This record gives sequence, structure tokens and C-alpha cells, in this order.
Amino acid sequence: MNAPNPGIWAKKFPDLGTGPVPVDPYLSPEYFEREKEKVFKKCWLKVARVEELPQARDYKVVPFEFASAEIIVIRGEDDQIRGFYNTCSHRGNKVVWRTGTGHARGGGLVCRFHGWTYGTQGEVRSVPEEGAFFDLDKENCGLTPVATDVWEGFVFVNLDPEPAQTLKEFLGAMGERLAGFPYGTFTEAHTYRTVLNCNWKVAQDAFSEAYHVNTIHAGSFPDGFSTELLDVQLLGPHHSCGVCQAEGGSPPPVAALSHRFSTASIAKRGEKSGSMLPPQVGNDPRHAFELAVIFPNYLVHILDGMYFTHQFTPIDVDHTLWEGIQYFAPPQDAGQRFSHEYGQVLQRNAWLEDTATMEDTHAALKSGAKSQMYLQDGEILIRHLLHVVDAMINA
Amino acid sequence: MTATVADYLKELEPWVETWGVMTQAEREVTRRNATSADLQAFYDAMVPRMEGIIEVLNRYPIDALPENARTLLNLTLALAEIAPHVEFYNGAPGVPYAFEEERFISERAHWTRL
Repeated sequence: MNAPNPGIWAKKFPDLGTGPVPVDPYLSPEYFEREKEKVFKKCWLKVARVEELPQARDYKVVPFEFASAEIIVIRGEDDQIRGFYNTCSHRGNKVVWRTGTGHARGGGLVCRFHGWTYGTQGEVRSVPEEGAFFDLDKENCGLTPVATDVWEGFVFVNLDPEPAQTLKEFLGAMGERLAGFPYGTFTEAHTYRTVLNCNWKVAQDAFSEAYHVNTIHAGSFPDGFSTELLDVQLLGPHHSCGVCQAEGGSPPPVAALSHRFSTASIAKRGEKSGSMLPPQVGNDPRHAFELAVIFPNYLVHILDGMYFTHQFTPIDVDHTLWEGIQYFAPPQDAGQRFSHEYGQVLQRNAWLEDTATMEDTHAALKSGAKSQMYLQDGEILIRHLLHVVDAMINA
Repeated sequence: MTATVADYLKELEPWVETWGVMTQAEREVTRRNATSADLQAFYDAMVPRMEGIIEVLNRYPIDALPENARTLLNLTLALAEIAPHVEFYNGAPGVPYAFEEERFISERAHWTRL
């Protein structure tokens, strides 16, 4: 299907231009170094949901390989979630030896190397053989803190020792646009992750347009979505748009069963969404889901009855940790449980179709055959990301 | 006479060991190792019974299913796993034109119930 309004987004956002874009930002180690320092070490980055840390002393260890760092976020006895480098104050060992979630028992976080023990506010609680040290100032031996804040139940950290903006300021109009969706009620989460051999922007770009749906998703979503974008919004460094349901097609038997038992699925058809969406989102009857990108690398997609996210965390210029998570409400009966599973595996399969392009794209770009790429009007979010990154690293 | 969980498990007995597994990761491996004919046979056994199976399972609270009902639920989740392959991918046991499936690490979060 041709876009009904050619050039609509270029006209709305003339500052982004319409010309080809350079390939260099996807391949250059020097460019990546600047992205690391000026984007990923300066911006707020999502690390967890509050539901992952339901009780005091629950923690999660998150790797940031681009910064050679691991961050511990931990819920305190005062209910506040704080972040620290996973680096012991004694001789620098990792305090927690594995990534993912855990619970610190009564004593606190205990470094396995020599048993230094930390409380949930990062303070040193005990040092074995303390008397054998020389004038040890325990007050200054806490874990190194990292700026940490929570928005709508999403936990973010900022690796800048003095962040230029609070999380609320950083999210700005995007935070207001996405606020109020009942994220906290979707407590059934299923995560898929892998390391992709491509630049983080190659991966993120593939999820930032709908131009590919007729080709890449001809298998899993025949007649599922149209290539048109709805209501593109550029909100500071962030951006958002609606993705459309396509017309027509009747679902085969199991797809139809799934749609009947629950409508909380990206694969649903013919339902007008809107009831739980925030006021500014999804007001067009064709709206299937909102594709919102919290700069630099966190994609939040909300629809009636569920939401799903993607995160593309760079490892180095050529490698990216991808994590896709689908969040559902607890099923009320077996029919809903079945329906959630159906929608979930179909979307997993669509993600397998999406990720199939990324390593080939990156490898083919590395040949040096092309120095630029062509973007159509519906690829405006890709153009915006490149524009924002470039402005930031040259600032 | 109203059908029971036991009735359905008896009718579906040839598929219980293969497809009654607990996790999505296990169902995915089972599907990748199956043939097109395996997928079609399981699909044909399940689809006409699905309405009745869901009705029987809905007699129990979803978070307190007896063990045999959990097995029957697992069979419906296995149908969810394989249905796109029968209905959309011409019977291919793998997802066509896709990333290597074994490289996707699949993990159900710890705060979920099922």
C-alpha cells in the first residue's frame, strides 16, 4: 500500500531534511566512542521494573559492558530503590557475582572475596578483621552510588556522576504522554534476549518503522499491519507514533480461538483500542499499538490489554545486547492463559523475523560498498534518532 | 455426560508425553525437533477439542490447577506454540526466514505465577 499522504512527516518536521543519511555512524569505532561518552554515559537508561524488586533487599545486577560496569539496583528498608556500582570498596571485586535478580539476606550484600558487607543504602556494615586495617574510615567506604530514579514503575539509572537533568526533566513531554497507562498491572512478564552482531542503531532502526511489515512479516502477520504511521511525535530526543492495523483477512482457526478468549494480544484483530491508553495516545480507530522510543535505546509499546518493550544496549560498535519483554495481566482463566501464549509466541516469531535482518545489514554495510542510506517518509524515526545522536556527540 | 479433564487426557494420551511439557522453552525445542506431519497430527487432535478443553479447565481457579489439569493446560499452550507453523508457515517446524531460534534466550520472570 502506498502512503496516502506522501511527505507528510517531512513537511511536519522540515529540520530533519529528506536526503540520504551517512553509514559511518553505524560502523565507525571513533563515532561509537563518542556515543559511549556523550550519549550512553549521560542519558537515563532503563534497568528494571519495580515489580522485579517487590521487597526490601531485593536487588538486580545489570551489565553495562560499554562502560565496563555493572550496576546493582536495590530496594531499601525505606522502600526507596537506589543504584550502586557492583565494585567492592576493599580491592574492587564484584560484590555480587552474577547478573539478574536476587535478595540480600539479613546482613546485606556480602562480597564473597573477603566478606565486606554493605547495607541497602550502600553503607559498609561490617569489615572482617577490621582492626587489621589502618585508620579505616568506614564512612567513606560505601559502594559508589549511581543516580537512580523511577518513572511509572520503570527504574532508570544515569552513569553521569552529576546528571544534567532529573529523570522527569529528561523524559519531559514523552513522560507525560505515556503516563497513566496501568503498567503495574501487567505482572506476567516473558523476556527474550540475545547478543546481536550488529551496531545498536542497526537493531533499533529495524524496530522503528513499519515499512518492513509486508515483506519481513509476511509469515507471522499476514494482513496484520499497514506500513502507515499515525501521529508521529518528536518530543525532545524521544519520539513516538502509532502503528496501524491492516484491513481485511480472516484469521485461521487457532488464531480466531485466541482472539475470542482474550483481546490482549498484538495479534488481535478488529478491536478498537483506547480504553486504557493515555488520553493523547491511540485516538485513531486504526491504531494497533503505540511505538514510543525513550532515547536513546528503550522502546515502549502500549496497547489495550498489554505492553511490550525492546532495549538495545551496545556492547561495542559491532555488538548489541537485545532484550524484548512482553507484559500481560495475570490470566483469569485457562482461555486467557492460552490466548496470551498464542499472542506471545506469534510475536516472538515476528521478532525472530525482525532480528534476521540485523546481522546481515551490519555485515553488508561493513563491506564499505555504500557510504549512505536512503530513508523514506515513513522512516522518520530513524532520521530523528541519527539527528539527535549526531547533535549530542558534536555538542 | 459431561467430559472431564481425565477424559480429554485419555483421548489425547499419544501426545501427552511429547507436548505436555511445562515451559515455553521446552515446547519450542519439541516443535523444532518435530516433523511437519507431527505438527499437523497434534494440531488435528487438539483443534476440534479446544472449546471443550477450555470449558473443563475453567472449572478450576487458574492459579490452583490440579496436576492433571495443568498437563491438559500445557497441551493447549503447545497448540499455541505450533499453530502458527500449521496455519501460517506451511507446516515448517522452524520459523521461516528467521534469526537462529536457539540463540533467543527465553525467560519467564520470577514474579509471574504460571
